[in-house]
Amino acid sequence: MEAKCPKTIRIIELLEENLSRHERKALETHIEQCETCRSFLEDFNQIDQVLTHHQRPKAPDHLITEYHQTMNRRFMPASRQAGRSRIRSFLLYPPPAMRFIQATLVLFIGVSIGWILFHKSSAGSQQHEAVVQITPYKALQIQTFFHESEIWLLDMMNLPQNGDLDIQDWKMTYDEAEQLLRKINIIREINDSVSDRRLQHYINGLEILLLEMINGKNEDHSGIVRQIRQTIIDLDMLFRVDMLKKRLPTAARQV
Amino acid sequence: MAFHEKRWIHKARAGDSAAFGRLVTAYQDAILYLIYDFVGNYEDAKDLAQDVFIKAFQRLDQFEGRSKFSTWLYRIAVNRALDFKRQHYRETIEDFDSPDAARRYFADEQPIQSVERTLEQQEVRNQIEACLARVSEHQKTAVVLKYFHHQTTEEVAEIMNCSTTTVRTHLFRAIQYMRKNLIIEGA
Ligand SMILES: [Zn+2]
Repeated sequence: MEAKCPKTIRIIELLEENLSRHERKALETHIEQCETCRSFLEDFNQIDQVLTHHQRPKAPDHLITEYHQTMNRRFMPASRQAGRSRIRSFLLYPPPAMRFIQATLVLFIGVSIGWILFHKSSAGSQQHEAVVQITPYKALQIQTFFHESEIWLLDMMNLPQNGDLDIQDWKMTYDEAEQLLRKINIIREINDSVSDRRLQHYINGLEILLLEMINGKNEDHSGIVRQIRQTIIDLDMLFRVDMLKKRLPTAARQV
Repeated sequence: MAFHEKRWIHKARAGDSAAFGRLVTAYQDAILYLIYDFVGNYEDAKDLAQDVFIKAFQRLDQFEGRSKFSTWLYRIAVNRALDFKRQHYRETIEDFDSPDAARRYFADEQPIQSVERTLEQQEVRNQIEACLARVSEHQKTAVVLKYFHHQTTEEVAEIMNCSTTTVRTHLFRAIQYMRKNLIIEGA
């Protein structure tokens, strides 16, 4: 077992040139006398060099070309298709004020279609189930929700001051669980008009997990938090892979 | 932050997709390589990089300008790459019923000891990659950002959402691991 010295870790700061002149002097004096630190510094200097000069394998040229082309097509409105692209980008990423108008329009159209369908098909039928085509706008809303939840969850995981964080250590406060529960109700409302059964299944599962956590306040719930997070990742994947590719309208697929 | 970059961000936030396009052009390569450093293949990195920019565009109004734009973007990229890795890992585990899949998964897990004592670039590269595959996710993230992407410790801390002390601890542990396992000629 190698000897340990609590000052060794400060050598990283020494090489970052992060120390005051006084601290630096003191550490250098210590290193001269400490075998552990001296040997670390020697090795560190070498590893530092190796890492600094590390070169990852080159990407195949055709892949880079293809990548740049895709990115250009997707994010750079070329002058010849500027008009079309601007309209598309306006529809998909409307300014906040327009979003409201758009949402109202979508809602209005949706309700109108629903109303017409209802009166046309099943006068008096109690079991009527409106099948509304998912609109690009709704698709975007749902997708954004998943992206945000993911990042939000990552933001929420606080790293302990000194040490590695394992999945087991993920923490979630009750406030956060309640916030997430509210978000889920929003997504449920969106989905109600879409009636995607698998999405429904996941949303229900997520809700059960969250309620379990909120209700069992005194228990260790790291397992539940892990499941919650995994469910969100699964949801994202389900949505991205399946819904986006197969079932959503073309406009949404390009998002 | 460069002046023109600030202007692009401002315009992009106002919904100007051409301005966002310029930001994409400026950062697309950096993001591709950053993701590659986590997922280890360019095909996936290419798709994930697109995800990152979509996410960035959707969340642009949340960029407060307190940090550098690159720091903010890197953070989205690192999170996306790590999530992908976790998901991919789970899928591979679930797929282990098929012996082929298991073999494929372990194919690149060569024991470090078998590496020849040489400074040849390829060998050193293999060794570094082998080491980084074995240290914790956080340690690897700190090393990749600091050494391969030249971020300062403060920037790494911001990307990883932790303190600079924690970043240094991650770096320290990764280096200790490499000291034991990297074979550098003349060392
Ligand atoms: Zn010492």
